[in-house]
Order: sequence, then structure tokens, then C-alpha cells
Amino acid sequence: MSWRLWLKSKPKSVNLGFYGEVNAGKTTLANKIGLDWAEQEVGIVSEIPHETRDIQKLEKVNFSANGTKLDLTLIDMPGIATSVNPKEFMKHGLSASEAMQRAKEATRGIIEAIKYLEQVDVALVIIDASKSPFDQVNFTIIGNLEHQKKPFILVPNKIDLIEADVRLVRDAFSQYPVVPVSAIQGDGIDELYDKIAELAKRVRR
Amino acid sequence: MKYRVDFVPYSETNDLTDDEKIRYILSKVMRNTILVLENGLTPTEEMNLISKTMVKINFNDFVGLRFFSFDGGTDFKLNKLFGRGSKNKVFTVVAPNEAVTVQKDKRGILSIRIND
Repeated sequence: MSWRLWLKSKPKSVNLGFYGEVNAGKTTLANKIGLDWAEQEVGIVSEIPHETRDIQKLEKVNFSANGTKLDLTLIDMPGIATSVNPKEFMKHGLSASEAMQRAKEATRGIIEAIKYLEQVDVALVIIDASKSPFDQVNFTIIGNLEHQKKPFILVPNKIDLIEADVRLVRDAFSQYPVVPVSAIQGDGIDELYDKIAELAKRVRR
Repeated sequence: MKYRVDFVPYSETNDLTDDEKIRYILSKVMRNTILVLENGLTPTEEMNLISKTMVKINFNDFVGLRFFSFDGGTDFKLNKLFGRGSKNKVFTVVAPNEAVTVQKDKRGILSIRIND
């Protein structure tokens, strides 16, 4: 095989970043993709906000959809927030010192997630479909991805919940690709894989 | 807690660099001022504001802020508040986290509820 053919047959390496507000289900979705394609989870899921405070990666994820083979690195980012209040964590049963420690780590994690945006090739912007999508964080993330010309998919998550309102998300972000999913139940995941494969074609290596 | 609302015209922040603008915002918001900036933030400035806010959080009297950038469209009347010649159709509201709930609904109405 010539080196050109070999290069063509080699799966393209793509950094897939998971961005979104806190507790939107980024890690749940990253774990679902990790388990589907590499039989590994990316991180721990918790109802306590800011469970993911460090950037977590899963490399060498051999992904294939619609005839497109990719060598994915899943990059699960800490949730982006404009405030971090230790008192919120204490409502979830953490002690004052645990809450303070978590808050300090969370602020550092947010800064790291923002810095890492440049390293991402394709982004999934996860939105909690059971809440109002009009959170400034969503608009700020999308604005920056557009500014940096990064391909991205809006992923309203938790569509299995009765409060989920996908139509509202579609209305709010009508000019962008939207693929609703339930990361926990797997609904919509195949459509998401097709879209990831489609957008990965735009990534230049 | 008493909060002040400042309507900041374009001329006040237009000549500032991105970093100066963020410093200006944080210095005001950390002193319990709610800002309505006629010269709204760009997405890059918004991310910069979030990063700089994280550095400033001290977990006692400042735990962060809330903001919302609003694209009012061509017929948006609030521009009149700032007088004729206003160039921006976008404005940004920035407030101390504990002070307000800033929320936009599906009709595009931006509500700023000042907490007790």
C-alpha cells in the first residue's frame, strides 16, 4: 500500500469536546460514547454540581459512523458557570470544608475549560432540555465556537424527562444543528453519531 | 443589601481595551452595581469576563456574577435611552450573582429580578 493510500485509510484524529453549563449531562454523554466505542467511561457522574472539575480525556476511541472512521479523543470539560457558591454544595450534604475545596477546584476547572477551547476540533454543546435554554452560558459558548470557526452540535439532553422541551431549544437555536438525546437511555444517540461523522469531515489535519 | 443600577453609554467603554473593559465591569459589579452596558460584550469578551470572574471570586462577599447579552433587533426602543447616534443594537446586563435573576423568556423578554 502506498503511503498516500495508507494515510487515506487511517482514521482521522479528532478532539471531541463536551461543553455546556453545569449538570447538563456532559459526563453522562461522554461515558455513553466512551462505552459504545471503547468500552470505557470517561468520568464520574454526580447530582452535586461541579463533579467534573478537571478536564477528563479518553483517547484512542475508534469511532465509525456513515462510513467515516475516526480516532476520537473525548474531552469532558468542567461545566461553565459565571458563579461558584460553596453554599450550594452544602445543600447537597457536603461539609463546609468540602464545599470550599470543591468551589476552589470548580473555579480553576472553569478557567481550564475555557483555555482548552482552542484544542477542540468538534464540540458538543450539551443543554439540559428540562430547563430553560436561555442561559447566557449557552450563548457565550456558541458565540466563541462560531468566532473560532469550530464545528459544533447542540445537544439537548435529558429528553427522557417529562419536563424536557426540545421545541423550545430548537426555537432558541434555530440556525444551528440540534440533535436531542437522552444520554442515560441512549435515545437519539445514532443521529448524534451520524452528525459527529459529518462535522468531522470539516476538520483539517 | 442595596444595589445601584448604572446605564453605561457607549462612550464610557468604547475606548477601553478588552481587559480594561472587563476590569471596569468587575470593579463596579463587585461594589454591588448592576450594569446595563450599551456597548455590549462580544462572545470573546464574555468568556474573558467568566475567566476573570473566577479569579476574583473569594467565596465570602463575591461568589460571581450573572450577565446577559441582548440583541434587541432593529426596532429596539431602549437605544433611545442613550440618545441619538447610538451604534450598538446589542447591550449587556451584568450583575452581582446574589443581586438578581436575569432571565430571558421565549418571547425574547429579558427580565431582571432584583432579590431582597
